[in-house]
Formats: sequence, structure tokens, C-alpha cells
Amino acid sequence: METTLNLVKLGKLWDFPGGIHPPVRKSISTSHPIKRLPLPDHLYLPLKQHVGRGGQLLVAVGDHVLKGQALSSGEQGALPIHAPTSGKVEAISDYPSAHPSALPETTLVLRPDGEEHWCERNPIDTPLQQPKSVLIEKIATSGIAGLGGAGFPASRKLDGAPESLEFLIINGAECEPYISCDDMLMREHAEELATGIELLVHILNPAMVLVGIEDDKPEAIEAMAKATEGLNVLVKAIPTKYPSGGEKQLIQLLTGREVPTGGLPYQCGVVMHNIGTTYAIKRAICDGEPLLERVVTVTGEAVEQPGNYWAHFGTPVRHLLEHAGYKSKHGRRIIMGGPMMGFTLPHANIPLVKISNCILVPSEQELPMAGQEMPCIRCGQCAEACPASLLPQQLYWYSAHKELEKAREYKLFDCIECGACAYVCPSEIPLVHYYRRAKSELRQQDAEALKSDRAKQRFEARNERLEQAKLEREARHREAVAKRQAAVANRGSQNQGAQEAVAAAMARVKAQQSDQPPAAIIDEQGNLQPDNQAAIEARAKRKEEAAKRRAEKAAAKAKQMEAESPTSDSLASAKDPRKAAVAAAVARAKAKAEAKKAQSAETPDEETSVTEPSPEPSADTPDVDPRKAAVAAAVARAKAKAEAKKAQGAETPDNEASVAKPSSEPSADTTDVDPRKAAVAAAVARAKAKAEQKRREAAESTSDQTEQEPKTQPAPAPVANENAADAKKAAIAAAVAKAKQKAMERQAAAKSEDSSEEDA
Amino acid sequence: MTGFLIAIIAFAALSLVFGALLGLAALRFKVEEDPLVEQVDAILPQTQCGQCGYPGCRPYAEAIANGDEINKCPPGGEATIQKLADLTGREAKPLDAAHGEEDVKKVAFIREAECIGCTKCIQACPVDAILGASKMMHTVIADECTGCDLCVEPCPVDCIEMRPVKQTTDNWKWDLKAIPVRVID
Repeated sequence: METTLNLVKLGKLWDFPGGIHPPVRKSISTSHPIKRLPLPDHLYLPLKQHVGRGGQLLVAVGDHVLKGQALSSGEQGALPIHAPTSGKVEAISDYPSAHPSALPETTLVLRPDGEEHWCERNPIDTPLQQPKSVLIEKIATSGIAGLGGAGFPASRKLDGAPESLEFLIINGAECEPYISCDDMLMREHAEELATGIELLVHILNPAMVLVGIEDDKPEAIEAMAKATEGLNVLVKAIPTKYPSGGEKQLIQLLTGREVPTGGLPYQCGVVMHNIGTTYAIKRAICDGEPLLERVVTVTGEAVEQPGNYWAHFGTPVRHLLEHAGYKSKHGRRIIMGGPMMGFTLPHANIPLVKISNCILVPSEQELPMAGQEMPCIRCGQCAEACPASLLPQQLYWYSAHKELEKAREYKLFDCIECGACAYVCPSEIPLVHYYRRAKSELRQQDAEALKSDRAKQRFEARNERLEQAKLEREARHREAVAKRQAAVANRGSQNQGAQEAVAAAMARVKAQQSDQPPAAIIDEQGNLQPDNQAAIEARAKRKEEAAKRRAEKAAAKAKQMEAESPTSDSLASAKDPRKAAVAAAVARAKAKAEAKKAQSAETPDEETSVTEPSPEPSADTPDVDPRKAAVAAAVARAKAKAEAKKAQGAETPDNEASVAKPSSEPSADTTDVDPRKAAVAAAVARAKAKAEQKRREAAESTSDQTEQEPKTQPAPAPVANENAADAKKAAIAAAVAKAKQKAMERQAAAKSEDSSEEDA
Repeated sequence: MTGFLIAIIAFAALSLVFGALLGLAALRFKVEEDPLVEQVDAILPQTQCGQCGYPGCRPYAEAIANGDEINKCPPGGEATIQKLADLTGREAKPLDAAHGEEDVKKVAFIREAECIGCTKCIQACPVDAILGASKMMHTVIADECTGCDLCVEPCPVDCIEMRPVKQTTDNWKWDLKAIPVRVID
């Protein structure tokens, strides 16, 4: 530990393996100071501009927002975004994202009003006296993500840092060709960067602060050295070599330590922040300005005025290019990021986000299209160039041949996708793309494995729950039986008690009258006998009644009438509109059941749709007017639908039975309310259509029918007898109609599918 | 002769001693291995869809352990068959078409305006991924849905559809449309 610090102090630099030396071409964009862009017509602000999840929206379409106002909230690891300028929220919709896929993501469209009205800024006046949690909180609410390219939330890096940190490294290496935004920032804002470094030192309290800058940026090195004079900061010039700006590579260069596989820098005592991030932290804490804009390098030979620009997030790339004098030509590639790690944009309407550090529009000679991919000749140049000491040719082999687990074993996830291997490959194999693809496939596999684990847990939990519910039900059942028995026994004893009392009173009366000693009567226990007899009689009566009822029921069944009669009769007699509706549903169900029976007797297939409707209105008619009318309307609608399905109405009975329960009640409740009623009617119609389809598909076996019948019967409990009669008539009519319609239906069968689909 | 006898006795004694040692070691250092069923179950996709003809993934895993075919799992597809083949040492066969075809990943979606709140789909869902109550609108927790299709059939109003999982920037896979990385001087 101590020795590393001393060695660093003495000026020792280490090296990382591999690396390449592509032409840097940075001078194209460093000849002018950073310019400011005029506001575009619209800003497109994706909710998610960093690694992790997007925040929750805080504004609505039509809201007027002020510059710096938070547009989304950052909770649970999400970062907020802020309005880059004042204006009106015009839309919140999906818009192509600044991602290699350009897949649409939720984006907030802001129309600037050009006034740049700030919301209230809350700078922290004496930041160095504040506890570090306050500063970290401020950094998080300012939406600061790493501006170097990966977009890792800065506050989390600070939060996760250990107490005794050895190195804070400010990454000014900016190794990728063409990009010069950090370079320009260091040249022009070195003082503010020094303040930012002070703030970070206050938060992290490291033993040493290093600023790593590649030695091809002498102005930046000078400016930073001057600005940080008097601070405990070492500005280190490092040799120009790609990819020295990679986090792990720079750590290795400056401290000689390697970040462990899958680990984070603070595990080897280092926290690293990018130049742009450091500047944003200073602005957030000292000026109260959240992250609203960044420096973007616009470069390439196809751009007339290459340079660095302050651009608001959400600025469309097109706007940026127009002001840089870009002559739109067909087939020009626009690359976001550098030539090594960037990606081609499908069009120029992609918005700029927090991680966009460069827009590169090369000419055809400058960056020729990739040549034909040729077979790997296993020359090993990629392995020599790899800064992570991996074996790119093996990774390529396994990635291309989908041996993903093998690729994982060869530490695919340690690949930083720097592109050095692809750069040196003589066969022009787009190696990094293979790795990226394999990585995303592996990630997805892992996610799926996780999901299937969870599904398994849920499945097992559910089974357990069902099992338990079953046991509980059984227990309850047993309990209920026991209770009932106890109740019966109780009632008996109560009766006895009461009668005993009566008898005793009688006996007393008698005794008084006859002057006989009461004891004699009690001794006889005559009182018990009358009791028992009464009970026995009552029971016999009840039995008789039950037998009668049973006989009735049997008769009804034999006739195929449902008749759970006594109760249903009495219920039906109550002229309740609800009941009427239920009755209507039941009638339908019955009609269906009968139709089915009739069918089973005859052909398996058929229908009585036309006749079906008739029982309903008849059942309804006796009831109260408006409701009846509404029900009738719903039925009519359903009928119309069924008819539209051409003759398949035949099936209607079926579906109704299945839906009878759910549909009948809502309809009764809500007949007055139009849309609801309509919805119910629609649902019924859909259900019908479905049942029909089902019927057609599965030839009905008789066993099925017998099973279904018991099912339909419980539902009809409150059936009125007249309904049953109606249903019977309907069934007969149905049978007749069936024969007639058979031919028709067969035709319609094919069409029914279409219509039901339309329905859905 | 005695030499011969001594040799036999010596070898017999040695073999007894080593045999006993080996036997002890086998008991003492016994490796607790996952039973085959567990391993097979871990490979299956846990959609609990029943397309294999068994009521869930575990029963199918048991069936495979007992010698059933390994190509009856459409949600798992070729990848699962390959893994099962590696595990069981059997030959990888193409997916048995009788049990369905490999399809893109889907999740159930309830058209909520049409839902009548019958709870039938809730009862059908093997992983409790549908929320709702009687006569209340139901909805699918898309993150928990395994795409097993079991809720579609019971719906009396056909308001459930299976939608392909939407591609987002999170599950997008790179295509090989390269940007050039070679810079000529």
C-alpha cells in the first residue's frame, strides 16, 4: 500500500498489456473554443439516459416547465432528468433512442420558449463544511451520470466507496480518436474542474488524487497543473495509447493494480471519475445547476466546422450537424461515440443524451466501409492487442458458434469492447460485435434462468397454497358437519327441556287441582314420551315432505324440467327485477341444455339459435318495464351479433350456459346504465361465439353432455316454472329448427371463425 | 508350496485390508449428488404450461428421469433439448411436433375493457401472475408471466391474448452490422 503511494509519488507509471495506436485526429476539432448552440425547435428527452432504470415522470403533457426543473424522479437507483430549458411539454411518447438499436423509448418532447427561465437554484454555499451525504444526495438529485460513455450514476460510485480510499483518479485520458470534449473542457474550465476535484476529495477523502491525461494534450496538462497548484493533486501525463482511457486500463497505468474480474474499482482502493462528470458535480453543488447539457465533439471530414459544442440534452443530432455545417449526403454514416466504440445511427433525428460524447461524420476515404469478413487465420494479433489479456480468437470462436458457456469461461465479460482486436484483425472480422451479441445473449439467458427460478417458486407456492386451502376446506367441512350434528342434538334437548318445563307446570296445576303429590308424575316420566312422539312425528312429516319433494324432483328430471321446485317457486314469485334477469339467464341455460340433449339424440352438431332468443323475452315480459326493456335490448344486441355470425346462433345456448352466472347479475344491476349494459351484452356475445367455436371443434361425446348438464343445473336454482315450460317449447322449436338449419350452419361454420375474430 | 501359500495369504490379507479401506472411504466421503430429477427440473424452463402432457415441469422432469423422451418441451426448444441430451447422455432429437412448436417468447395480455371479472384465468394461472377479484377487472403481471397459454382457453369472453415480448433496448441483441473500426492513414 504504502509503497504504491510512494512509487506513484516518485512518478512511476505502469503499463497495461496490449493496446494500439490508431491515428488520433483530435486536432480537427480543437482549433476553436467550445461554442454554444442555439436552441432547437424541440428537445427529445428520453427518461432513461444512463445505466439502470428510468425515473418516474413528474410532469404531464401541456405543463410549462422551467429550466432545471426535474422532469422525472430518481428513486431506487434511477436518475432524474431535468428540463434543459424552459418551455412546454408537448408530448410524452415513444421516440427512437440513442442506442445502437434505435428502438423507441419513452421520451418527453419539450418545446423551448426561448426565455431560459430558471427554476429556483439551490447551490450549497459552503460545500466543504457539509457532511458528505448532503453532497452525494445533491449529486444524485442533479441527475449526474458518468459522462465518459458508460453512464454509471456518479452518486453510486461515491456512495459505494470505502472509508479509507487510496486513490481518486480523474480520467482525462480521452484515448479514443477524434474525441476532444474533455480536452477542451480542461483547457477552458480548469479552475472549475479544480473546485470539482476539491469537492470529490471532501466526499471521498482519498490518500492521493491523480489526474491522468494522455501526453498528446499538452495544453490540457498545463492548464490542469496550473489550476490544481496548491492542492494535493498529481497531474500525470500518460503515454498516448488506445485504450488508456478505459477505467481498468487507466487504473493499471497509474497504480499498477488490476480490478478483479467482475469487480469494481473501489475493491482495489480506487474511485475514478471522468472530467465531464467532475465538472458537472461542481456545477451541481456550487451553482445549483442540475445536469442539463454537455460538451459534444462534432467532427469528421464531412463536417465543415468541426469543433466542440455545448449542447442541451435532447438536442436532435440533426440540429447539431446543421450548425456544424454538415452537408447532408445520401448514404453518409453518422456515428455516435468514437470510431472505436461508437455505433452508427440509423438517421439524424436521434436525440443527444448524457452518454453521447461525440458525433462523427467521416468521409468515405476517412473511414472506409468495413471490408468483407474473412475467416480467422489465428494469427494471434488480437491477443497481443487485447488490453484485458483475453484470447479474442477463442472468444470469437465460441461467440460465433453459440457456445456461450465456453465464451463465459474465457471471461467474455471482462471484455471492455474497446475494439482493439477488431482494429488489428487482418481478416476484418467485426470481433466486438460478436462479443456484444454473445454478451447480450448470455445476459438474457441469465435473466431467463432467474425468471424460471422465480416461476418455479411461485408455482410451488401456489400448489402449497391450494393444498392448504383444500385441507382447510375439508376441516371446515368436518367442523360444519359436527356443528350441525351438535345443533340437532341441542335442539332436541332444548325441546325436551321446554316440554319438561311445560309438563312440570301442567303437573303442578294438576297437582294443585287434584292435590296429588307431583312426585308420582315425575317419576312416571310421562313428559318424555310426549316429547319424543312430537319430535318423531315432526321428523316423519319432514321425511315425508322430503320424499315428496324428491319424487317431484325426479319427475321433473325425467321430464327434463329442472324444477328444484319448492324454493325456486317461492323465489320466483317475489317480483324482483333482478330475479327476472336471473331467470332469463337460466331460461337460456335450460334451453341450451335441452337443445344439447336433443342434439345428442340426433346429430351431434346442432343448433337452435333462432329459437333460443324467444324464451328470454317471454321470461322478461312479466317484469318491471325499464329493466325489462334494457335486458331485451341487450339480448337483441347479442342476437344481432349471433345472427351476424350467420346461423351459428345455434350455438348460443351453449355459451349462455357458461356465462349465465357472471352475465346475469351485472345485467340486472346495471340495465339502466347504457355502456355497462352494452359491455355485458358484448361479453355475452363473445362468449357465445367462443362456445360455438369450441363446439364446432370438438365433437361432443355423450359423456361430455352428461357432465355438462349437472353443471348447468345448479345455476338455474331460482327458475320459474313458466320459464321451464318456455324453455321446453324453445327446445322443441330448436330441434325443429335444427334440422332446417343444419345445411346453413355448415356453410356458416367456416365464416364463424372470422366473425368471432372480428368480434374480439 | 509354502511359498505359494504365503503369497496367497498375503494377497488375500492385503485385498481385505484395501477393500475395507475403500468401503470405509466410500461411506465416509460420500458425495451428496443432486438426484437426476432435480437436475432435469433445473434445465426445464418452468413455464408450467403442460404442453409436454404432464401437469408442470417437475412431473415431466420425473418422467424424463424415468425414461420418457426429452423432446417434448416446446417452450424450452432446441436449447433445452440439447442440455437435456448432455445431461442424460441420450441423443438429442428434434422437438416432437405433437407437443407444439418452438415459438417466440410471449406474455399474456388481458384486454381490460372486455374482462368480465370471472376469475377463471386466475385459477388457471400456474404461477399466480394474474391479479383480480370476482367481478373486478383482471390484469397480468407481465414480469411474472411465463407465457404458458393456460389462461387463454378458460376465458369465456376471449379477452386474453398472447403477445410477443416487446423488444426493448434491454433485451436487444446486437446485429453484426458493423461500424468500421479501421482507420487508414
